[in-house]
Amino acid sequence: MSTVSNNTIHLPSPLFKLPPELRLEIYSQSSAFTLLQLSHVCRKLRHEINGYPGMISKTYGYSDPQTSMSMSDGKIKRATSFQAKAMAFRLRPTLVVNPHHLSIYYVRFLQSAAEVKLYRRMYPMPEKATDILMEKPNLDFLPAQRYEEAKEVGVSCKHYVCASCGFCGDFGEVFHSAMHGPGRTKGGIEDRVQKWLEWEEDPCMENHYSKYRIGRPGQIRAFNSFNLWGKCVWVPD
Amino acid sequence: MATPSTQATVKLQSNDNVVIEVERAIAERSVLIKNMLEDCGEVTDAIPISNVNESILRKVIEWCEHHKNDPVAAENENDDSRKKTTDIDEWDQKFMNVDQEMLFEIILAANFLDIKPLLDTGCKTVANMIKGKSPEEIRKLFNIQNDFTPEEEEQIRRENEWAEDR
Repeated sequence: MSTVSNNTIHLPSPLFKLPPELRLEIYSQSSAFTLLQLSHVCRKLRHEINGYPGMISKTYGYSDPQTSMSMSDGKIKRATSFQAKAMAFRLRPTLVVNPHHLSIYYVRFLQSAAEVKLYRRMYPMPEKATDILMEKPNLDFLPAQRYEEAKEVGVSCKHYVCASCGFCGDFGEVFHSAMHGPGRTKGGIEDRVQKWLEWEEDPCMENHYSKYRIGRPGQIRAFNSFNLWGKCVWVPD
Repeated sequence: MATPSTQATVKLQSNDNVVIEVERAIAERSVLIKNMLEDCGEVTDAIPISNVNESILRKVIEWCEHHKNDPVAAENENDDSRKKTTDIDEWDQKFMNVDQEMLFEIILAANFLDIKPLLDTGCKTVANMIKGKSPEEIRKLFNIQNDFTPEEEEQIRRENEWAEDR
């Protein structure tokens, strides 16, 4: 059925010809950031998408800050770039985040150059927090593709090489060095930072290693907040 | 259960009464048709595909022909493994390069005929169309009306902004 308003005929959207279970299939193929945009299109999609919290939590780039991060006790488990920036620059969401609504607060990673561009356009951060969300290792993006896409949006992709064993990974793998071994052997922030200092940046595709450290002793305290993160996200060229 | 049939072709009848004869192996990409043939054995009459018109049925058959030798995913091999990537095979990308009306009809037909790989490809295509688009761009793409009240828009804006802590 079509509706008429302001002399404009609105035919039903082809998207709504699909039964909800097929739209759910489409949602489950989308990233958290794309779902967020989709949920801001109209009431029906907002209600529908937010009605599937289990599906949302499995989408690429989603992170629930309530369960994934604990800064107050001095331990960082995981944090979004948003959240790390928020801590560093004393930002906060203006509302208590509605746990029933997907918001940018739940988006940890962007999936593609197109999403990075849109993010920059729609969610401008305060002046100091201009770093771009990190692209996570992802089956969808081979390193070369990531590099090309990174160039396209004006950021450089950095990989990190473990000084002791040569393990090469990007930010997600390095930060979660628990997966890689030595970083988890002792516990405590100081020890973990010490291990971090053994990692060095390797700007990918440039055939040389830049031998500078990603953390410096003077920044150890900053690990509690942002600076070390800041060194490890994709940085503007 | 009926004896397994050795017939080489089957006839499919679209909802606009067009009968199309296809190789059985191609038709059996559809789990619905495969089960029907297994249950009924030899089928000489055309199988009615009541939800699908001729043009969509031909399109679906074209996809099945191209993919007839693909390994059939084991049942329950499961959803998570199917969804790990949004990459779409080059041939499939061209195949799905159709107008929106037909794209959504193909998705519906794939769902009705129970052809999961085709359904996945269709859903991935739509997901890729949405990727990187703002809400306004998505509205234009799918002809969706913005029915949020000003209060709801304000609520959305506030949920998604950051402000200096005071």
